[in-house]
Amino acid sequence: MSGFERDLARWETGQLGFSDLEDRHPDRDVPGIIELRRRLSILATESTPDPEPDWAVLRSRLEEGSTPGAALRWGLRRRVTLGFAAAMLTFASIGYGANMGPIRRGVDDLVGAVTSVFGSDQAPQTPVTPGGGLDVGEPEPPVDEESPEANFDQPEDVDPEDVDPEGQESTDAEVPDDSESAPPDSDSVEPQPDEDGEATPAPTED
Amino acid sequence: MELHESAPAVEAYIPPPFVDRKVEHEHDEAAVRSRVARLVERAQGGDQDAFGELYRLYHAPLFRLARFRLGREHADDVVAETFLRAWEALPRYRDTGAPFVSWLYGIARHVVADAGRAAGRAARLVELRAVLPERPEDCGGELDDRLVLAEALGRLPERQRQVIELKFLVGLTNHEVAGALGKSVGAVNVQQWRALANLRRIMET
Repeated sequence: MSGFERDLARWETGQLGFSDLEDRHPDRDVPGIIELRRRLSILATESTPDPEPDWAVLRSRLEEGSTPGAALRWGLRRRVTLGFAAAMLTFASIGYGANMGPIRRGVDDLVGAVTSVFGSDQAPQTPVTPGGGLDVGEPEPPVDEESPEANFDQPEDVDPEDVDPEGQESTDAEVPDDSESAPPDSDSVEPQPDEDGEATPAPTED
Repeated sequence: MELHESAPAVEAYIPPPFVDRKVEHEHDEAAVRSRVARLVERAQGGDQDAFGELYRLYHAPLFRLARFRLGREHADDVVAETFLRAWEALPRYRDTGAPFVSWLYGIARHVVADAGRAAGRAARLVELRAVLPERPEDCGGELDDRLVLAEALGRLPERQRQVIELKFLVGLTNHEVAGALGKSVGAVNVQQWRALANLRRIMET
């Protein structure tokens, strides 16, 4: 801090008079700087509009998020979701390129399923009743046929002898007790990927 | 533009009270800080009424800053956007000892910069006509000087401009400015007087 700046600070705190300041620094523009400071100090006292109307508007906008950081958390979730999806795609690409069997089969199945939906001229086959309505049959308990982990929590529903040790699809063996509630021709109908959404990648929330 | 130089008026000028406010009203200031800390804590928990109190407390300094930098037309939007961002960022706020308003000022600076870029420099020069306060008589009939001052302030180095804005627009003491910027009071003093000298030089050219 120069002597001039130190004396200005002393003047500001009342330790040095204006005339003393001028006398000590005759080569400086003391009046100009002090006048400028005075004008700036006016800014902090200027009138402003009533905040209440703007607060009412702002509050209504806050209601959308309700708690602070809601958008922040949503942004974080979005980044995590996108990051996970990107990692999965990268992993699948590498696995496919490296000719890893399960990944290649999975990708081929997925491509086949997508092709059957978007590449076919015919609409997906769905059982139709004679009256023209959809034959949905009796309600079935939800079973994820391709996810062994989904059935792990319900060991009583699975006959150990029916489980394919290699984890391959064994639809008939996994749900033996529900065969009578399924449509009579359920075994002959190809599983349609667009009915349960399993074969079609679900869109992300974004 | 030349400033009016009136030696008697300058000599009679007494530095504004907020210079020694920390000394004179230390007890009041501690009470205010304690109250603000409680409001911030409640707002972090989702209390919109508490956040509303903070809005009322700090609307004026942020509005003055926005009006001075961008003009009256954008001031409302800048203040609203600043508080919206503050609401979203509140969970990350930690009391470091600096005044809460300096945290808001940090957000407002970015909002002002964003708005300034959006408006464009050409538009901003036109809008300088709108930097007037609600009651023009508050300027003391120095409207032309005010416009020049607003433009000159925008040409200061960033650090010097922050000191000037925090002190004269937000209304902080030198101690509070130092806390907000993580500098010593002496460093803030130096920046302030150098900023004033630079402003004077810019306005004379």
